Amino acid sequence: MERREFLKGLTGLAALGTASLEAALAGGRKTLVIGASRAGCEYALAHPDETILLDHGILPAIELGHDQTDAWAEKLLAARCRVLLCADLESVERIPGGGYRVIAYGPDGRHVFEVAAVRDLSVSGWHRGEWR
Amino acid sequence: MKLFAKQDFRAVELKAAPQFDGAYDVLVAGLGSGGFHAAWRAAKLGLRTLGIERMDAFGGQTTIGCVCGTVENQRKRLSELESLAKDAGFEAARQTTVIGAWMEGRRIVGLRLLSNGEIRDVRGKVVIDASGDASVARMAGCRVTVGRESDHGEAAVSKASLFRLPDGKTRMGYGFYRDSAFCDGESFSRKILGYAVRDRKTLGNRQVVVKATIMGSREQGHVVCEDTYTLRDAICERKVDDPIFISRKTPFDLVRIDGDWAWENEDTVAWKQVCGLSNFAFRAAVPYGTIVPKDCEGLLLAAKHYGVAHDAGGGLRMQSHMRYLGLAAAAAAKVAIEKGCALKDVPYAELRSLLTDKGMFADSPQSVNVIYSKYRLEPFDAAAIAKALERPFAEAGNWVTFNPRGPGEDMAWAYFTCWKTYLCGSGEAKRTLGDFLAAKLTGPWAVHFAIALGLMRDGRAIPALLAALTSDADYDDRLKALAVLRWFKVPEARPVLKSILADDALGFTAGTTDGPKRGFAKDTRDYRRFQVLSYVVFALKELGVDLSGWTKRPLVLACGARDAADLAPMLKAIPRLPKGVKR
Repeated sequence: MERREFLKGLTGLAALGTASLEAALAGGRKTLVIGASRAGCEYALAHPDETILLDHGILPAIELGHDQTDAWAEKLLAARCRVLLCADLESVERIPGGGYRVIAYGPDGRHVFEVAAVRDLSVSGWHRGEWR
Repeated sequence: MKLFAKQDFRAVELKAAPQFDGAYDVLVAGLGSGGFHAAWRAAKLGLRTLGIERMDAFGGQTTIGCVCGTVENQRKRLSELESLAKDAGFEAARQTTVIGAWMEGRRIVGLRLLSNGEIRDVRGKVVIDASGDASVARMAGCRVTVGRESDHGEAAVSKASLFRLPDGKTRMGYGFYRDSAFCDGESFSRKILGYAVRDRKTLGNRQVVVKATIMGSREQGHVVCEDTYTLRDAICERKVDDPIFISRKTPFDLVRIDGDWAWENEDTVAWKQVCGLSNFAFRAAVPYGTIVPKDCEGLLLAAKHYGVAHDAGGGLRMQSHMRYLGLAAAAAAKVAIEKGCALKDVPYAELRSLLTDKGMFADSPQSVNVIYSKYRLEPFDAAAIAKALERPFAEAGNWVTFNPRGPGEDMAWAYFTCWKTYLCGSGEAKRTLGDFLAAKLTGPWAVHFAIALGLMRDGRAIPALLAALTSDADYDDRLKALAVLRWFKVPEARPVLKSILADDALGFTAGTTDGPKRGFAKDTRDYRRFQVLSYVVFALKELGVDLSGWTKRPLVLACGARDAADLAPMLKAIPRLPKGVKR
């Protein structure tokens, strides 16, 4: 936690909250992109307002090499892409009537949210594509 | 049996039925330095062991975290750990994340694992949380303290990389960041992207060979345990009946990277700012109770979130310490399973016999507990203290921020001797030393003796400390006097403190050598002004002075405020010290 968060009327840990992701998605985020591969990053950069990009690690587009990942991180940051790093996906379930219910785990813990679409752009493929 | 997950860093119950497909003696969550050695040792002791690692490789920071010096070292270490794992024969679940804890009342009995969308439940007689961020302990409902008391600020986050030099050799580079990982996952992700941007600037054209694939974090909460080890325990050479390892030389090297010592507790301020012991190390005998959580049965800890306080955790977090924690946790699990006893009731004699053969107690008896470089300093007598303090600070060498030159360590040691006498000396020792120092307050080095007496919380120091603030003493001496004066909470200090505040510490720092940008500050003087102002603000707050109308740039910057109006509520929120000091 940053000092700012604490000092700004903090009431201990209650000042923290991980609802931001769920709240943002409830506000119209439509696509979950699995994997911050080059393809995943490019998709997020092309649709920064529509996308939440989820990755297991901390290095975007790492398949292009260790010397390139910082540049892709800079692009994602500049485009204000929504990113959840160090995260693992538990399930993607189709909702009757359209969309998907997603359960993911970030460093702060469990997140449950709904999206309209899912793009698996991870290098190795998540869950062998069985979620489809 | 109930399943709990971590959400918003807290335990939440999930409705689910267990589907156990494996039963082990020991489950180890996280195979970094601590966890790997826990799993390795448990398997060597004949326990059926499952190690669970979120990444592909073993070793955590020491391998894929790139804290290994060179690419060659990284490869060698990875290879060594793979060989050790194969030799010990423990089962390793890689690319697997612990997402839940199965609980029967207060006892943890299993874990829920996730690997590429597949869920698996496993049972364990003992679970060892070596996650580093107390993930399993949090799921199991353990209380976790975060950072320092004043604002929960934690030790720095880092990200390392290995790059190639023009001569072809590889070297390690660090980026240190003041953030804590204790925030929502999306915010932390944005911070990580920001670190990459800074890495680009820092590393420039150097050829990056390997970047860390995990973040480094020196502190991610400390679990409330049966025992807690503090910096004061180390200083006062607390007698520990059940040590699991002895750290012979613990560098108190990093708490925060801002130099924002005013936010730290009294002991840290005394160590870092007043005594100037930055380059010194302490010895620590870490008790068994620090790996046994108070709120959960069946759980042990083997990573940096164990039961050390924020101040001691600044040093007791190194690779060797984590390895010792892992070995100790495995040994304790072995004894508890064989005896059928609770982990907190493990007979120490039997635990010790399992530990001794790993060389964890090879330490020879020591009479001193603070070590400078290769030298162990002997306690100073009054004459040695006087000799050390009767010289200009500049001549002693600015060991606070740089390597010592000349007799700097003597001055640090003299101050430390006085502080330690206050903390754990006899009444007679305090009286004798206090009287000796008080008699020196009228001499030419009154400021040094006043600081020393202040470290002993002796009110006779107050007039000299107050006088020092407006004297022509060295800046460092005046800053130390300011730091010490805060502890006394004297109303007489208000005018001088307010005058420092009124000119934004420009006068206080006038005459000091300016330098390049430092940390958050635009230059060295700005950084010094921040230090001065933060001590003044804390001191005035503790005297009940309303500061809501005061806003100045260095503190605004350091607090992360946007502007003056933004700072006002932050100043209101600065807490008072938890306890007063008798005059």
